[in-house]
Amino acid sequence: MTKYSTKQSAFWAGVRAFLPIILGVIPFGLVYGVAATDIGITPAQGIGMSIFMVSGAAQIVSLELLKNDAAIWIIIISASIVNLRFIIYSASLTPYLRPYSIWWRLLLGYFITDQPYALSITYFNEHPDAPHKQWYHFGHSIMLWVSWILSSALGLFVGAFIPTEWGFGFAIPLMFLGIAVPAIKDWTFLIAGIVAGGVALVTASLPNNIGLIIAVVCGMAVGVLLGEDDA
Amino acid sequence: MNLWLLFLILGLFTLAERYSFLIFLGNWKMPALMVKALRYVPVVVLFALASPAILRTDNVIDLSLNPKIIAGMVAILIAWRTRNVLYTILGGMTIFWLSRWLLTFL
Repeated sequence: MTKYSTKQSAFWAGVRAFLPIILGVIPFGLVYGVAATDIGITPAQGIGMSIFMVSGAAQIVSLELLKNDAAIWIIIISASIVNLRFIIYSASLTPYLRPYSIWWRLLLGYFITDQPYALSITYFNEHPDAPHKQWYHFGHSIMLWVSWILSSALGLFVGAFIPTEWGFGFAIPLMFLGIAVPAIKDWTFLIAGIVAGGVALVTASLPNNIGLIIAVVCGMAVGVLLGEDDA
Repeated sequence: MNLWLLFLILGLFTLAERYSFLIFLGNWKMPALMVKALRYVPVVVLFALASPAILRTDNVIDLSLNPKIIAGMVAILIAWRTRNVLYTILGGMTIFWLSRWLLTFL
């Protein structure tokens, strides 16, 4: 991957890096839109939720619970559990984004989600000394934001007419694989990923997506045990 | 509860998680062990999200040679060889639809 030396080139590199990922965002937005319309959420409320949360998985989980008349505190805790990974993303990005002003960090932090995190950390790890990191992060993040809001809106308006049997939702796990597999740097990453996937699979029926957190903790523990201490 | 208020609260909790280190704990020096563990987060989280979505059908573990597993294996192969997300999604979805169609003849 190239290192981008000007604000403009870093920003546009971020934008370009996100282009293929849009295809994975759109079905997610449509799925969310359908789920929202199903329980009588208006397009305005649905778009508002997307702007406030920018987090498809937590939004869909919240709607499921809302549909089942779950208590408000259950919904809040569940969404926070699904998004616990953002704390890890935040910690992981901080060494690279700390030099930038509080305004930049407030702005860039709002955008922290799976795909932008994956893009940024890959670039930052390869080029720790790259200038204008904030512009790279902003470039792909604004793309995620726009495509998430627009695809949510599309889903809210027309989602109900797209048959779920077509299985467009399957693009979501494929997108995760497309990002995760190239991030496997050595065999310790592979084992950690397989353990996390296995634990997530057998704990998937546990309530409130807690299985995801258990799987992540197990996978990281395996990585720490197997990985080299330096670097 | 008003839905707008609920969505706002959910958004604020999410934002607090995003800002945890970037805004609030920024100067706190992370232990080396934590830094090491964090390197594994992307791979681990993404596999934990993808695995149940591919290996479960109707909320039950299903390891038969079904369209999702066939497409998932091809997607891993494409992702490994091309390191390209778009090719992975397009190739995976093509195999998914194709194998689903072919399996109707069995």
